[in-house]
Amino acid sequence: MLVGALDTVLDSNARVTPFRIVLQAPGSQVSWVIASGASLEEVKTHWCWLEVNLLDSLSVFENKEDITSFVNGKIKGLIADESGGQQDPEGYREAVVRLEQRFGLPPREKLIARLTCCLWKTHVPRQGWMYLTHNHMAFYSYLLGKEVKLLLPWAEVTGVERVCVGRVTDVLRVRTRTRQRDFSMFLSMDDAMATITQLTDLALRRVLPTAGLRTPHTLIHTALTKRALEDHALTQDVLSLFGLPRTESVCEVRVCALWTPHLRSHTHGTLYATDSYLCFSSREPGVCSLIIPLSEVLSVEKAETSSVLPDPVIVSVRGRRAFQMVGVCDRDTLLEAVTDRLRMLRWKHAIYKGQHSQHTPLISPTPYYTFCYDTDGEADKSQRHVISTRPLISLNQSRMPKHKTAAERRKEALWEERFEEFGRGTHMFRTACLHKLVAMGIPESLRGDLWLTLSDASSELAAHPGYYAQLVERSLGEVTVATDEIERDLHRSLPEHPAFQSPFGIDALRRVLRAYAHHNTHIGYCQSMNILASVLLLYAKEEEAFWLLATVCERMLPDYFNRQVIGVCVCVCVCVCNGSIKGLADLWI
Amino acid sequence: MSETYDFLFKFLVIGNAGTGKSCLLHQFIEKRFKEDSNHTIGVEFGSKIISVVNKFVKLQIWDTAGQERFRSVTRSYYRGAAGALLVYDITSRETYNALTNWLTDARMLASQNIVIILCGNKKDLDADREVTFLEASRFAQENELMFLETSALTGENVEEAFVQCARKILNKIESELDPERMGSGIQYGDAALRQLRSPRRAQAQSAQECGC
Repeated sequence: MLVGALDTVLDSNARVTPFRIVLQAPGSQVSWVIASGASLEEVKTHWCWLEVNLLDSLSVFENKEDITSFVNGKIKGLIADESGGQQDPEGYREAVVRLEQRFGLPPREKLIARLTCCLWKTHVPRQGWMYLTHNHMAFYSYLLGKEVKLLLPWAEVTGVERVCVGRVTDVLRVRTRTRQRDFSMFLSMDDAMATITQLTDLALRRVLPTAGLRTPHTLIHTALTKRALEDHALTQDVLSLFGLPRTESVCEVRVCALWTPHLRSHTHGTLYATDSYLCFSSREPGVCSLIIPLSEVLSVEKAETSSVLPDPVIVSVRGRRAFQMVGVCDRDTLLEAVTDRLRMLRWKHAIYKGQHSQHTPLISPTPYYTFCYDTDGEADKSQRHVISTRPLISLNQSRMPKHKTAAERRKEALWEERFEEFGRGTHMFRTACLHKLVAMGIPESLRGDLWLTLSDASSELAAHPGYYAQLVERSLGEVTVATDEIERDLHRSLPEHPAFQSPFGIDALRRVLRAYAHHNTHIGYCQSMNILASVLLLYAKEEEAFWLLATVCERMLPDYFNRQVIGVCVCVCVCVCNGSIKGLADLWI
Repeated sequence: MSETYDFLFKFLVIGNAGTGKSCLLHQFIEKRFKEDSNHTIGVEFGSKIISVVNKFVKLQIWDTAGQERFRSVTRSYYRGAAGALLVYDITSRETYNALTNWLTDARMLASQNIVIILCGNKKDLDADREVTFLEASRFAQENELMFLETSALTGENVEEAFVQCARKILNKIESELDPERMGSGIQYGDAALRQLRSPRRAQAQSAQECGC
């Protein structure tokens, strides 16, 4: 089977050893040098080794891709073994020197990765090295007396994509404003693509500092390495997968199996431990995911290993619930890391609480109004800064129809059933069925509660007791552009709803919006937050509504509400390009 | 109303938040004041056919959000606008002071020949006035804008603002403006009219037809 894939190539190029064993999978243009030798005998010994060690196990595999990836993995493993896990510092140093010589870049220009690849120049492939640095992409090739040199600042790159060009199936195309370059024959296309896209993205963030896109602090110039980039990519993936706060970072990643009672079996997947969460995602997407805030966790322990349940870890949470994971490799390190985090969180919490117990509850005697837009009576003003503790909808119950519709009651029953089986609270098992249930529309009576737990705004709420009251007090007398804009929109937020036709509702809305503008000056107040906040206030208590608003603006739709509303612009572009509002686009463009 | 018209103009309504842009549009189209209105998110849209100097003109009006941070979104709608209502609030000097910025944007991004009418809205709140008629009309003169004080509440001058702007554009078509130029913001209502209006082209076309 391997015969088709292996052949020995004689190369006249003196720089490489004359005898090599090359692995090439049929249908792929990439070939791998897996062994080399100066003489025929040397290569033959390699060949024997391959026959003895590899060929037997290859008959197990069904298709050729598996063989290729298996052989690659084996060889890479061997190399890693030999070099003792070191990332070839000699080669790296040499690459840095070469880069400096050939391109004359300043020494502070840090080399991040060096990839072997092929540049296509008018149908001629030029094998060479691609150097990826902090600010530039460089390519150097010296073949048959011809030198090809290419230096491209990331800031000029307008697009990176994978395309097919003629016979070459997997080409990485880098576009600039004026032209495009095609590269192929990477050892790992995915890897190259990921690094290049990330670097382009970083450059974009530097070029557009006003766009409100902040460069992650882990990726500032001095700290930038390939490793940092990979870590950052992983963190971003995990954060967006579970919708965690952007400040979180991933500490530990473990493959394991989680006991899922509703399936009466273990579900295989990956466990991620971040700064303040334990998250699990099933290997098969959508089967089950789990988000456990560490603030809910009582203990993380290991249990007795048995033949059926190897290396089990038990996570117990408040409300007498526990989760069991098995097959957690290297569980001691994981447990240590998580327990450390837990201890730190508790300590923080204790300090916060200590500070807070001295704090007097909010009843400010001073009138905060320095100017007045509306003409409410004096009596109402004293009530303005008292935080409401009920959802607005409950205050307007008298005007609402008393009887719930049958559909509403049926939905409530479905949810109750679900709570029984999958648990309630942030750490419920999240399955595909949950998404369906949410899409059906959450019954009114459960909205506030479920919004809080599903978005995990509840953790923020629990982690910052009294913070909202402080914000309200501090933002009372403020006069800024944001407060001005808020005043203008207070009477333009769900004006048709009875809850916002009384000063009670308007005041609650004012407090939430002002508090948020004070809390996050980076966003301040963006039109449409008023409408969001009004709806939230209908179904959630005021403080909850504040944290829900914060979760939407910062975690669920980041970049949508900042000064440049960049997320909105991107959305509009995507809509217009995809032609979903093609009518609009056709109208005048 | 029948859908036949001679011209179609693209109009913009721009100005600071809370100056009453959407209310002006609503008053123009529905002939009444809109109580309890939401603020505009992104952009809204309205259209109406009016009759100006014996011609039916369909106005296609794009009403934009006024908040500063949405400018990056609304700017993309400026392209190819034939006319614009630049709105400020006579009871707020701040909205008047922002006019220069709006004007720069409109002149830069919309059609070169864009006809702009300045509207001092909320005329009914004369008691709270912060910007005098004289001052604003001087500003309008300096910047070659038409000028009206309007009230979306009472409807005073609202229709006039749109009609005057449309009339000016029609006049321009008679003299200098070529509606066929890309991005002029003007379209013909039906093909027959186009041939009437540019006899040379019609002749050229018929000559071609003979040729075949």
